[in-house]
Amino acid sequence: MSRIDDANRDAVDRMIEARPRLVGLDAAIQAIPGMRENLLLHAGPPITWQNASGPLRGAVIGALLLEGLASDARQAEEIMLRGEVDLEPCHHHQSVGPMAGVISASMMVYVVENQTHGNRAFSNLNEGYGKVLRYGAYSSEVMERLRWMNQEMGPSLAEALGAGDPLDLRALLAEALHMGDEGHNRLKAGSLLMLRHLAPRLAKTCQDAVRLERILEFIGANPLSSLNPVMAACKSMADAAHGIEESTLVTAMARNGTQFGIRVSGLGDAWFEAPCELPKGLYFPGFSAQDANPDIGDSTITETAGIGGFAMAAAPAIVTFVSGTPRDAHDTTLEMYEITAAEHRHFTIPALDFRGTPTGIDIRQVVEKQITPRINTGIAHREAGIGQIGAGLVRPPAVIFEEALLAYAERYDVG
Amino acid sequence: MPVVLAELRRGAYADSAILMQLQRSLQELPGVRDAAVLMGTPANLELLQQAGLWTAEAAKARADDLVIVVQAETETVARSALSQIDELRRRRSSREAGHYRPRSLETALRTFPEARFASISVPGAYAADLTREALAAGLHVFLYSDNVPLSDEVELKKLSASRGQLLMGPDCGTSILGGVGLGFANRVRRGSIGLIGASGTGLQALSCMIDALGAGVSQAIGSGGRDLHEAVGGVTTRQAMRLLAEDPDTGVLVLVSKPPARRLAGHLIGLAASIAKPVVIDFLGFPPPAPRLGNIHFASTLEEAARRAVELSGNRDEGINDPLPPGQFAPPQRWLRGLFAGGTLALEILPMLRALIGEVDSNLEAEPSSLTGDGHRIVDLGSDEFTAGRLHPMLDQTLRIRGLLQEADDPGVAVILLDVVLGDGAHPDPAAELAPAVARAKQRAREAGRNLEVVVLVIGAKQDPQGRDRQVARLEKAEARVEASPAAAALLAARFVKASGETPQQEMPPVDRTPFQGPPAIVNLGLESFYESLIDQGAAAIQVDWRPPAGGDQRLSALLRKMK
Amino acid sequence: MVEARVFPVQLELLPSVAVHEYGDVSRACPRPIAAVREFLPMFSEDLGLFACGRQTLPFRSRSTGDGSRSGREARGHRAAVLAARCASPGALEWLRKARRPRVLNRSDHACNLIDERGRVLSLVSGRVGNGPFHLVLAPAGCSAEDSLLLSSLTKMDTGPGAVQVTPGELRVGGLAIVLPPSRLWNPRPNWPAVRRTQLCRSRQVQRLKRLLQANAPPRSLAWAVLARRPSQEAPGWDVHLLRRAETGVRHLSRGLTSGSKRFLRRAARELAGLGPGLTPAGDDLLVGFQLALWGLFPENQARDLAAVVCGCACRRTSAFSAAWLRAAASGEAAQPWHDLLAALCCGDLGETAGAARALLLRGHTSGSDAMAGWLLACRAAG
Repeated sequence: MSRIDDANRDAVDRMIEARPRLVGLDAAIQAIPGMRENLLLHAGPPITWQNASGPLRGAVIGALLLEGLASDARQAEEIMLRGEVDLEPCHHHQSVGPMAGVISASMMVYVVENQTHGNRAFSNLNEGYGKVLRYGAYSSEVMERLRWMNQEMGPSLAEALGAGDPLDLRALLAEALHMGDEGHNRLKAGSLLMLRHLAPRLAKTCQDAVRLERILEFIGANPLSSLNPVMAACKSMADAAHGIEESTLVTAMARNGTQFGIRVSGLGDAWFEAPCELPKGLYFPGFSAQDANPDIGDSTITETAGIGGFAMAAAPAIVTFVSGTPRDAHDTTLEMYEITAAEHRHFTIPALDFRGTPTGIDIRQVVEKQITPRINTGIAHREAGIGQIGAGLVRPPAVIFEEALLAYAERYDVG
Repeated sequence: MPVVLAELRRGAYADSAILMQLQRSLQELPGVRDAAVLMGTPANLELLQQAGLWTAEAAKARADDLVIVVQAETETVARSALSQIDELRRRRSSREAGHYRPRSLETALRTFPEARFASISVPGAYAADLTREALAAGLHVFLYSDNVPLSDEVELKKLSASRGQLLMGPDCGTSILGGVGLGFANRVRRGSIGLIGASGTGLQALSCMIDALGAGVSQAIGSGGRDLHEAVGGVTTRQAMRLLAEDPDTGVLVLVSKPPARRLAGHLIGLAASIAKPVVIDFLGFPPPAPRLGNIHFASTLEEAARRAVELSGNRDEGINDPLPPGQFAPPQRWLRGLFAGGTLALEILPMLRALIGEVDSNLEAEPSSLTGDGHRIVDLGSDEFTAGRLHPMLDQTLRIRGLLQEADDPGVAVILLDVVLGDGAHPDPAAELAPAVARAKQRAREAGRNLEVVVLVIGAKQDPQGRDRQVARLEKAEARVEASPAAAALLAARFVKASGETPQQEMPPVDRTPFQGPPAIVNLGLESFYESLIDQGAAAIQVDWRPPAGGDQRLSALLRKMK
Repeated sequence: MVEARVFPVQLELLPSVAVHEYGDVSRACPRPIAAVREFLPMFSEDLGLFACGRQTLPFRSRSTGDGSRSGREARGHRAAVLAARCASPGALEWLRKARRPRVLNRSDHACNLIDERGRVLSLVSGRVGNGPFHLVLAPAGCSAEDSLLLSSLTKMDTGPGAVQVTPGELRVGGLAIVLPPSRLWNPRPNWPAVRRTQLCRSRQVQRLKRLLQANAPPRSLAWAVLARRPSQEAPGWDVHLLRRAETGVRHLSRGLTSGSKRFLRRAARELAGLGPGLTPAGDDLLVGFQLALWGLFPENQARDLAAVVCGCACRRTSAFSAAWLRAAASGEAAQPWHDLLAALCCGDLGETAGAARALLLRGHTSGSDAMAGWLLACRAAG
């Protein structure tokens, strides 16, 4: 075993042994370190307003409207052009957000704590399908829903969570994988499991029957309601593995709709970026690849932590959604074993005789075998406000792994 | 009324075997009476007409078009048959497509941990790294790739030898292990003849000839084109010889290769002499030192080697050496010295000794070598420089006895080889003088703490005036080892030399026989046809979809190598 | 002699028209062949025998490695690039003269190109080996190249304009083949040596016949020559095929015994383009027959007789098959024939059997058909 292998073993052990628990909900400004009134967090590596793609711009406008910093879209754009409000990546604030991933100061966020290592991670509330902020929509119905989520549902959930023990997300995910989820595109089982844990507590703490009904209805109807806490859980696992000297494991993969970026455990906070590719997949009726925005979102944190596309063999039901056959799903997971350092001890796949999911992407293997990670993703319309237009598969550009490898060689004086 | 329909394909993917397969698949479809898949040449169109497979569509064909004709009971059947052409052709490839192919040895072993062999046929530039990986994973390696640098080969074989693993190759064309052919191998009968060869085609030809002669092969181990190169040192050949020597299914060994370096040849023949089974050796184009040396049979063509091996395999007791008489030599003892009265005998025995133990000095050649100092040496005491002014040593043994005692005092000498020629005109009773001298020589060595062996070649007939039996008995009483033929004498002397400190080479750990006994479990990296043929033969195998590291980018792959 | 067919490429020294004129590179017949074949590449590399010589080819030289390009650039355009390893003079001539080349057809290990004059160039993997109009792209047994060939050559776009010959490079679809080839291969066996062994009288012919009998597949035209029924009777139209072939074989034989060109022509017409296979079986038989002519008769006579056969046959078959017929007519043969002839010359039985078996394995029935043609000619002449 070389020193690099040792470092990777250390890092992947930390990733696997991290035990994320949902401890509560709070306003972003209270919970997230470094959050401030004039700051918006976004998905992916750092980006400027000028370079932002349609969906991200839409989500930024929506967030400014939500915060009352702008009264209409034009004003919002001017604010951004003048640089009055800052844009920073969620990843720089221990946070993750799906698609545009915009988090503003007043938004309620899930607070996830890794019991093993003590680090925390945050993510916003999931709005469901259709016209939603994360796809860049900011119409009045979107704003209305967000206000309700932040002012009514969020506080109620916070209260309910406070009424009992934290929710063990690692156990929830392990169970969901045995129920046909892969943890990124399919969270039907995980969301129902979460609801099953929250419902009795909500019933106990929420006095307002109308509000209770709406909350239960909203969470129950949204098969993605557990995506955000799961992403925060993955973030806390990946962060636990970050910063291990000499490790070549990937600890973040994220897209901002323009650039795809990765971070490597042994290479500090540097991002290795290249332009995102367009996802390949199926489009909803009336849309085609021409309408698609380049890949976007922090949700690739799931693949980073060994689920999502890497656990496809656990979720044969979604293969048609991302175009393929159950055989392909099976082969996808097998392929990901080629580039990962370990098999997960807690997340297992029944169809593979309970093999652990492939965990801990090693940039050496990616470059050597020229196999890039496989990511399941939703496809956003390239214009703001239209929303999701399909789903499919995407792979990060191989060149960012090669760049990371060269940077590693320089940093550690290899060769 | 049967219906005939035809379809033309232009510039189609075409391989004769596939066309034939397609034709057969079409013929086997229910309701199809006949089918033809042919190039649309005039002759073939006429043929179709004659055979009642004619249709207007076929008339449009040109010589470069592929014509597919189906004759069926109804038009529906014919149409459906034609519509299946692509499906039938695809069947072959889709059977493979559904199957995940691991991309590296490591991941292959994770799903196929029972593998004990790796068959590697990737481009030479990548072969060494991959072989290192396979050896580290504890696999025996069949390395088909060529263009592996010699320095890598030397290093890899050192590694495999030290770990008791067999590295067949690089540039190994064929092997048959546990009844399964690797690389290019012929489907030959299983039997009791074990083959070892550096030449792939040589091994193939040999195995075919043995099969044709009605016998069979236990194992055929290819050692790689350069195994007998001086620098490589025949590591694989030596390991394979020991493996087959221990293999209960192998009764006869055949060693075939181009001529090895002379020292190595001696080493291999010496090793062969230590095996308790007949060994047939064919160093192509290398003059055999004798037709036979004990259990070793020399052949000069493949056919002769095959025939000899088959004969020997029918007669298990043939040519097995007696166990070597015990005799511990002291550490510095390693040289053989021959003191000959008969020049012709010396001349005959010299090449045999050279084949068995390597360099031997003598005064027999045009440019006599130095006759003093260390080294193996044969001296003809009948040559002019010794006989000047005295009787021929066949009559006067004074000089020889003096020499015998002198050599006995040399702490480096382990074996002394003498000849005794009987008959009319020769010394009346050579043993009377020689036997006491032998006894004295041995006594003197013993006193100095050494064991000295004296081998005496006695040439004579029973009726000779000296009485051969009497002479032999007398010499044997003096503890000389008596042999009646030059080959036997050379072999015995050489075996003593081997038993002495002559083998400075480190003992390699033996190769474990177990994985070779049944059909082998193999990871195939490279040529897919090798994998298919393994599966065909009923071996357990897994195919690795191997590709050059980093897509062939040399800078990155150099970096990756340092980051292992 | 026959083994020493590979020599440095110095095209400026080669007459560009009469590429066949330097066919015989006579050397002492090495024996046994197997040992020499393995010895040669090993030692001759040191001696510079296989060295590429100076870059004096009609093509601009170009580095094949990544060394010349920056790693980044190379990574950006990772097009499939193969090097041409070995070529016959015929292949070089094709590369020089082809103006409007296109893909003719493809198989697992070969991609055949054709130009506006109907001449063929075969791009083959090392597994197929050398041939009269072949450009060998990969060293034998190198899977990466083989699979690259397989996936790129056999699946690539082959529409109009897919093939381009430029100085230093042959492009087929997305595949770039770097020229010039590093070795030149002489497709003509040492016919004088073959003639000296008096093939038709040799006992080897009997051996070959027995070998053919034991190995010919049921659908091979060999059965028409062996004048026996195949061991497994094939169903369907094959009966007609064999009947036609028997007539052709009779005429071919008669043509040679009587020296009548009329019969030869008739036979060629009957056999050309007949039967299954990418190269129809009848053509394979004619190829073997023509090669035998070169081994039996003095050069002028052989060329004459072969021209009669070839002239008639080429008109009645596919372009690809015609290329083989033309090559055979000028005494050029594929690698397995060279091996067989070399073994025959040396009289090594083991080698002969091995080489014959390798030839018989060629194609589905092609190998046995060709050997049948060879035996037919030996029998008729003997």
